Amino acid sequence: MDAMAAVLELKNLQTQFATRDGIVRAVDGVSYAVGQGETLGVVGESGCGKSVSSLSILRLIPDPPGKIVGGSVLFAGEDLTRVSEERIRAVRGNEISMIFQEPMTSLNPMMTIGKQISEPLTRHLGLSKKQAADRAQEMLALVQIPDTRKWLSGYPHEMSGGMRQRVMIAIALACDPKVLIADEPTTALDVTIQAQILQLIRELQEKMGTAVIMVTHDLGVIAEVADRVVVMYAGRKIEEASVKKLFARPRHPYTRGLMTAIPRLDKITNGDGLSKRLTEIPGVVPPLYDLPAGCAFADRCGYATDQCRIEKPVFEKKSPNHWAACWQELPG
Amino acid sequence: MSDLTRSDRPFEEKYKSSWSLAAESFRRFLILPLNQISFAITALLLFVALFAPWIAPFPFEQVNPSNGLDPPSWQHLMGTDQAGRDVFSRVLYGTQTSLLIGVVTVVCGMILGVFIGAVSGYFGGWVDEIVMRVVEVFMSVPGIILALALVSVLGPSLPSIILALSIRRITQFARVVRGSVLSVKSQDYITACHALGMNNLRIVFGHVLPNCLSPIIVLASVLLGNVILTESTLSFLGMGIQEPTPSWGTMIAKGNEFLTFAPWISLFPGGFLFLTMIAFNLLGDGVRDHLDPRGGSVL
Repeated sequence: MDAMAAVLELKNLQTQFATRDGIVRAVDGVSYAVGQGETLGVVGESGCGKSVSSLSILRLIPDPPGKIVGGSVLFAGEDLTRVSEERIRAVRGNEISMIFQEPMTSLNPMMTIGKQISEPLTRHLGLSKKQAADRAQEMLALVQIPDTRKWLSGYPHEMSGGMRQRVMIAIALACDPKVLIADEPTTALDVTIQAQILQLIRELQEKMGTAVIMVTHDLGVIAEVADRVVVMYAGRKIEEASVKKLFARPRHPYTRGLMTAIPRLDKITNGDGLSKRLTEIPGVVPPLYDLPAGCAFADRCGYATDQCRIEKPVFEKKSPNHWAACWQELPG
Repeated sequence: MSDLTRSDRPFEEKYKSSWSLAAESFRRFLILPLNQISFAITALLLFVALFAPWIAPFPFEQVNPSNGLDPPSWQHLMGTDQAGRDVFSRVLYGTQTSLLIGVVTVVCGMILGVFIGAVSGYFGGWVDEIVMRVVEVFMSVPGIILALALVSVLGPSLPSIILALSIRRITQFARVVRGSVLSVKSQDYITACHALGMNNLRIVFGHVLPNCLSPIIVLASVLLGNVILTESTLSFLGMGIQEPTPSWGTMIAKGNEFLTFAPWISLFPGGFLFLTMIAFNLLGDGVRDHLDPRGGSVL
């Protein structure tokens, strides 16, 4: 984030949920920024706070039980955590848009595709119904849906998952947002469609200059589309680097674990024809309402020392454009 | 559904007037034979209700004690009652009262009940707590007792009967709608609506309620017959439509004592009530399936 000016910047964001077991620190002091035309990947396993951090940007966390308790989300000189309800509604879907994981259930089954794309247009840009319908048709063409005139009055149940995700992208990009948050946009799709959707997001991003925050658990997706990566674990950012540096030499044992856990076709057998067990990271994520005093990953980490268990690691620069929160210097 | 699937429809729709769209939609509704039947019966009932004074051969209150309890004949198509009044004419006039009470009560109950249920379910929290406790208070009193108490205070006139019967419907609609709103509002597409910057009003009325349509329509068509019958119970207890004004309910109730030797007095209004309920239930089902873009087959 040195050369470019940040479009959207999270600073020390903290989102908590009040549960019966105690306060869950789902996002615990996370900072990241994304610049114009850049794609930032946010990776981590389920429950690490990556989705919550992205939902917090637009204040879409259900309150109660969730609450943004600290930090800020800076966008165009404003702190979105503090602006009025009306202002944040004007930002949502207009200047910052979201795509969700489940295309099968993210569209209103009772409304035509055309109407659903038109809605943010009439609402945010004040277009007339006819103008909005024309623009909706253009958007459908842009996301490469064939026979746009026909689909304008089609319904979501007539579409496949991939087509619905294209429609979601069309809705999200209709108002030409500055930032697009894609929360696991390809997780529910099969692999060939995944590639198409990622390619589409990439193309549209280049065309429109949108900043993209790609939230995913899939390092393959990250390698494909991201410029820069933030790795999260137990509500915290543990590593940040350019995508090349991260894959070349991960500095945090957790990131390393994630990478060795990717199944590889060339390594599934031992050479004797017998299949090898997939690699895993031993143990589980500690409960977020009861985090250890030191590093949250220490119990699962092969490099952990006493210092790791007592003292929280500092998020520090390990090399140019590469930061990590780990006391240990991992062998290259 | 029709033989036209949604995607083959003419696609100039976005430029069409809402009137031609409605006409087109109605034409598609009438493709199904069952919809034709239910629509025809409903239209016939409305026609009878509107034009009863012109169709009926006798005034509904004309008594003729000398030929009381006459069986159906060419002169009296449905026979006469104990006072010698023409049952056919009274059934036709009764259509007016019964349909009016049924439809107005259900519509009132629906409008208020849907609104209350939607607000309660969508906003939740203390609003929901208070509204649902109030609804439960009303539900805990048997419907007929509540209506009786209200009518005895207000006096047995048509407006007060409708009011008395509506209150119960409001609570029934409110509960059903609240339930479906609760399930719909947690759907992904509602979260997506929030993420697109829509306000709560738009989300509730534009996105949540259209997805709660099925239970609302089903409840409305069931309650319609229910209300017409409850009115007859009120009449039976002397708090409903007052003689000599006919309603199906009062006619069925009054004919009760002659059932063994002059069954036509109860039978014909009963038949009309039966027909009405069938028609409205079929119509309700048809409308629900018609409004569901998936063609209703998924339910």
